[in-house]
Amino acid sequence: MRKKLGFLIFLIGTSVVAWNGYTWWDQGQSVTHQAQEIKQAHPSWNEQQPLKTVQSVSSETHAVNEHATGEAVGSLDIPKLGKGYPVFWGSDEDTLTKGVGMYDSQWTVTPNQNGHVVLSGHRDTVFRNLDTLEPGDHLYVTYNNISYDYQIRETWITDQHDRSVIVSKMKPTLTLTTCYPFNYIGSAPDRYIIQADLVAADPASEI
Amino acid sequence: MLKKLTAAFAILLMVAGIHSPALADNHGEPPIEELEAQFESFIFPEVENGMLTDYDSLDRLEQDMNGIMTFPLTDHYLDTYFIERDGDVVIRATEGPMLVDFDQDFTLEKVNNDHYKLTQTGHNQLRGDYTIEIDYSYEAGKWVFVDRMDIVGTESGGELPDTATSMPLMMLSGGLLMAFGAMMIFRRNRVNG
Repeated sequence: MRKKLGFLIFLIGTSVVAWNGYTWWDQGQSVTHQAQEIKQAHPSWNEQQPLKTVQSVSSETHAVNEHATGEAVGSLDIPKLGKGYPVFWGSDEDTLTKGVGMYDSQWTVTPNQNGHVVLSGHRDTVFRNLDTLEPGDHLYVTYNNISYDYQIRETWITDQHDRSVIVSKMKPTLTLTTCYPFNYIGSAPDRYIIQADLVAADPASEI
Repeated sequence: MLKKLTAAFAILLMVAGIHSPALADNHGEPPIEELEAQFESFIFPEVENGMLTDYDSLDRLEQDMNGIMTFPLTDHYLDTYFIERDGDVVIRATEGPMLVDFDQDFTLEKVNNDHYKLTQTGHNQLRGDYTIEIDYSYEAGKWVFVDRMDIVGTESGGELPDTATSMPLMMLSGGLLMAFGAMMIFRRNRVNG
């Protein structure tokens, strides 16, 4: 009897490990690792000196977004990490299992409007090694066939309940959010924030 | 014999657990200004070209920091603010933690003889409104930081997305179940043998 129970517990444990391991692996598959191609597509990726901030990206400031939650809306390239990420509309649980989510709210906008673009991702499936990025590094968001080049100005760690990060901005700003600490097992209590200013916007090139 | 030893050990632990709070002394208040000055010297140390002048390894820095804070907190600050590179300790280019301003109002609340909590709210030109919460604990004969958190901003904006996943924790739990199940199977086999 005990042997049967032991076998059943072992089987349940194996299923839990297999299912979560597969889901973990599967969610990480949305990230593309084409370091050479991504760097070639963004020749200015290694310019570390602070570039001039673009104060206005468009005269269109109140465009209506008609994206559906979970819809693919663009991509994010981080040449320093050699990674490209698909970006989906929304930041709910289901959307974040697909890849990077673009925050939809009264405080945030899409990259083609003046204001605050917020992208979020899981630290252990998509946004791995995000802590190696530093002020001066470049982040490229492609949206509606335009590549928006943002340069990191600041990184910091804050509490998960901080309501001062996702706020309205006047100038084009990109914020990446993920969980912190990066190697924490369980529900991480803090958030890692990377904030960048727009420094250029050009027609997107194919990778 | 092994069972008797285990039982004796369990009883010893229970007795120690019951009696230790009663034996707790009053250690007075933690030396908050002195601890804060030491914390500042570790987190905002003297640097030359971004490299710490007094430390050449994270291990040595960790050893000294453990003198004023508990290990998980030391680990957090080392991970967050320092990197070891080619025999030097380098400061990461990131915003530092907030420090207590003793010229401004703050509250120091006694949770129990071994635990005090300091709270200060203020305004910083760069980051706006903030709250600092620090927990001090009396451990191994002295007061140390056991937790400190800066809550920056009271400005009302959007909730930060829940980017935490429970998958690694679930895998760990699954692994423990596997080990437990295997132990039950193994023990049964041994008894049979």
